[in-house]
Amino acid sequence: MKILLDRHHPFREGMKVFSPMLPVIAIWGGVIGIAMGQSSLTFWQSISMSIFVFAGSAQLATLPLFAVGAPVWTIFVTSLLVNCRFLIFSAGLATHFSYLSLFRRTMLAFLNMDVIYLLFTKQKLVLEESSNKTYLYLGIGISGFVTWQVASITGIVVASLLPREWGLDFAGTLVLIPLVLGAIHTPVAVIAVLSAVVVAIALFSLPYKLSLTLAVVVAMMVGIGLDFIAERQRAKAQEQ
Amino acid sequence: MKNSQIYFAIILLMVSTIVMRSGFLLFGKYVKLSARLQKALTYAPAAAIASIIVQAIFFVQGQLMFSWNNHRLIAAVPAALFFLWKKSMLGCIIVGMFFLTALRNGFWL
Repeated sequence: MKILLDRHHPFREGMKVFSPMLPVIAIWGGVIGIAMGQSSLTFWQSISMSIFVFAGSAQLATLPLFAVGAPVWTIFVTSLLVNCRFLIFSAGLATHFSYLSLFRRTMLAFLNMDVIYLLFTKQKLVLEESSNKTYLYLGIGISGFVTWQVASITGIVVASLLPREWGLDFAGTLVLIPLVLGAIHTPVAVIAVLSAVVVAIALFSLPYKLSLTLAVVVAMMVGIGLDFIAERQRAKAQEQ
Repeated sequence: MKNSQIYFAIILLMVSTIVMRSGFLLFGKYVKLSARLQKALTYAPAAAIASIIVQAIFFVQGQLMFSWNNHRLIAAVPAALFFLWKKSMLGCIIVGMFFLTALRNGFWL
């Protein structure tokens, strides 16, 4: 309680840092809630998914797999592929929190949505151990978690009251479009993503939704290959 | 899918979130990723999500449907263009839902 009342406490500061992002996270959570509420999952399955999985894009990616009754391991692999960007963020967090206990590190990491990482790393941070830094992170992260859960659970409830014919689940597909368009800034990324799209369409009918896994593998190989060629050309240009 | 299977899958999804979000925070001391592999990993999420989108809009009941009757496919186009123009996620959703509803009700605008 003291933490929340003290205006200058780093936890409060974290809440303040989060506040401009509140509408974004609320929309994101709300849409995912609606998508879950209109999916094949029951009310309580959706609520558990919201609270325990807490990874919007992985949830949206796996909902169609639940609907077609895909094998559990396909669902798991798909979520790993969608989540693997967090692996890169975790390396960024490691430089700040490596001194904490295993349990605390896991707890901090669970809160690390894309937006949270972005907001946290934008702050002026010291590299040494500091409880202020941990509180600042928690202030941002817990605000994000609470906002997202409230919006997501509201979405689940609202969706369960509305008819499926409205096609509200389409909002769950639409919200992914900005995620992709916002993530492809370089020509190499564009080509990598396009090659994934081609594979996803061409191999759609493969069993176990293998098309998704293969699409990502192809995109990564295309990306590595093109980066390698670009590097070589740059090196050559420097020699001349 | 059985109820128990679904809850088992939800637990695995939680494991996926924890493993990926805490990865280097837990094992950074022991494993180092090469710069090239790190770069390659940045392509994976956009590729996976783009694949999910095209599978959701190009296929109707398991069949590739590239025609004016595929309302989701048609509605996704103005939604994407609107996002590129205004950079608004909410706008993208509203435009897409608007076109889907209009097309489904037979308004050809």
